[in-house]
Amino acid sequence: MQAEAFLKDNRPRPEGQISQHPLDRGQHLFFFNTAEYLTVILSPSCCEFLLLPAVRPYLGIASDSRLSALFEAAHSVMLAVLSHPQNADLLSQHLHAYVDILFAVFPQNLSPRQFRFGIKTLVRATSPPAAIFDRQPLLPSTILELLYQRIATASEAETPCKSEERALSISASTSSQGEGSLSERSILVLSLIDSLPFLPLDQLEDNLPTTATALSSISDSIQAEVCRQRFRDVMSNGEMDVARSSLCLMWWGTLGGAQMVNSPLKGQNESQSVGSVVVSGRL
Amino acid sequence: MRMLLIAERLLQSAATLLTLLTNPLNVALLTTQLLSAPAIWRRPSGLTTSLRLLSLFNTASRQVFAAPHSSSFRDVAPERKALVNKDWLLAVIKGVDGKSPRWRHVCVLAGLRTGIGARNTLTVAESLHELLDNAFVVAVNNAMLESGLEDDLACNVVTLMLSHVFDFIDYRTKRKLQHDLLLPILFQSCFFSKNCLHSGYFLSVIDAGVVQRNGLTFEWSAQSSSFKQLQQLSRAPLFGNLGSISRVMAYTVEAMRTPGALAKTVSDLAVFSRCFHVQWRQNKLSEIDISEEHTFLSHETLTTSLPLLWQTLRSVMFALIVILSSVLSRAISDGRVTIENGGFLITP
Repeated sequence: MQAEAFLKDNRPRPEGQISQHPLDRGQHLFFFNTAEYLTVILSPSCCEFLLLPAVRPYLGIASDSRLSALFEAAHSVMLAVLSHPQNADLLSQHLHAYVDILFAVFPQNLSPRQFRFGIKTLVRATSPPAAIFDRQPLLPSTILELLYQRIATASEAETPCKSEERALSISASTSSQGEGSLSERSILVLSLIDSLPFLPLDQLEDNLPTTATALSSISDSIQAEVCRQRFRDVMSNGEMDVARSSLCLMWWGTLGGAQMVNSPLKGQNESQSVGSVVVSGRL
Repeated sequence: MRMLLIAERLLQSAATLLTLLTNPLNVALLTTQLLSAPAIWRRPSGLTTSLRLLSLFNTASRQVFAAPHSSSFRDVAPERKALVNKDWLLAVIKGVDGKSPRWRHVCVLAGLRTGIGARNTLTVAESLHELLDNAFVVAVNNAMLESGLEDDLACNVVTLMLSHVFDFIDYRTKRKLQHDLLLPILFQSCFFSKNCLHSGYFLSVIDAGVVQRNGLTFEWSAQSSSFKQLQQLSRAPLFGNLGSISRVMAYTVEAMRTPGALAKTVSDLAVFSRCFHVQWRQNKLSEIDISEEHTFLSHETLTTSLPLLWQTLRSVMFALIVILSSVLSRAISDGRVTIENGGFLITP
């Protein structure tokens, strides 16, 4: 096919290394940016043997400002490859490794927005109606499990946020306020919340309480409030479809979900929990 | 040197006489002489001479067609009845005959066309615009047929004149140009000819001019011969008009009736870009990332010499983009042009 021939001709050389020459790096960037659009028509074997090896050296690079454009392009290509339905086998093979890479580069080199987007895309790619779900129904839970484990050890220090990302998050309409000053733990919790609309119903039911518990583990009350607001938004603003919304409603009202989310931990300042819309039966 | 002075004086007196002569036969004679005089045309840079001729006829026609109330030196000698505009024009065109190489005719007609100016000026009749447009297009076609691709000077002159006049010509008359012949000529004059980019040879020359000073600093002096060469290139008439020439090429690509020359142009483009890329890659300056420029380059390089280089490269890039976008739109919209096995295929 012409697309495959074109990509084969232009693939980065030398294989598996980051080139020293800026001109070569410019060409690699062009390759990544083009390949991202062509993943839709490429065969899985082409993706596996052409794109993934080319992308691998750039995924985990240490912070080098010269390479940041390549870093982001490489991650975009990876996500494009993994989220395409016909690459389901590739997804199951590489998912663990890629999530590990994501955890490794966050928060030093990856911005919060990019991390959340990456996790969200992976969860969406592994949940129904994706074909891979029939063969391996536990993949979404696996990703979330990895997130929970990371939350337990995550720091509460403020993440080093690049200034361009800060400017972007101020202008973006869907981001929560003050995203640039969130801690690693809060961003992990936010990624959990972002993934909820895509989970299959039974896993959603299991993960709602655990997400609420994770939320309550955030000790800074301002950040916890940001996360709570996001939780409420996700459940009420239409990101969830009908079946999932009714499940959430049931959990929130009947099963004590509201109580779990809105009640602050002992360490948090009680006066900060304003804005809770549901009548909570907390003590 | 003396030849140059003689030629210059000849041109100046010719410029004065052209507008003052009353007999149309004399005007025609003067034009013929200007086109064939060895004193004028034996000068080394033919491109400069043709530009000089363009401006000469430009000024002359402006003065002839000047609005009646504005003072021109034609009114100084009222006892001589100066030629009426249309008669003067016809006389000049008659003087453009077959005794001189046809590419020189293009200069005269280009001068006339630009002197008369755009169509909406009230002083000039529509028929005259059309007359000149047709004459110009015919001259260009004849010049291309006569010289072909081998005569470098002819190609350069045709390209340069066309870039000046192109926007004035009516779209119906533009279609009469021989596009198949025109496209290779335009491309060669811009990208392969010594008077313009010369396949990017200047990049290799620059590499020799970049020297390593103390430690890690590199310097490309503004006094070096390679920088002076680059300055000469940026001032060259063909390079200065690169933008309008690329637009003419874009038009030609889209207007060609039989897209035969398209395949050759695309392969020429590939040849040029490969050449350019290789030479840039071998140049030491390409190894320095933009973020590292301040560390590795001297102050003089950063402020004087390097900006000119980037400007040049940018102009080349924009010219190529303009051409490529029209090639792409032609490939997409024309059913006869298909791409098979990595090359253009034109189905009859």
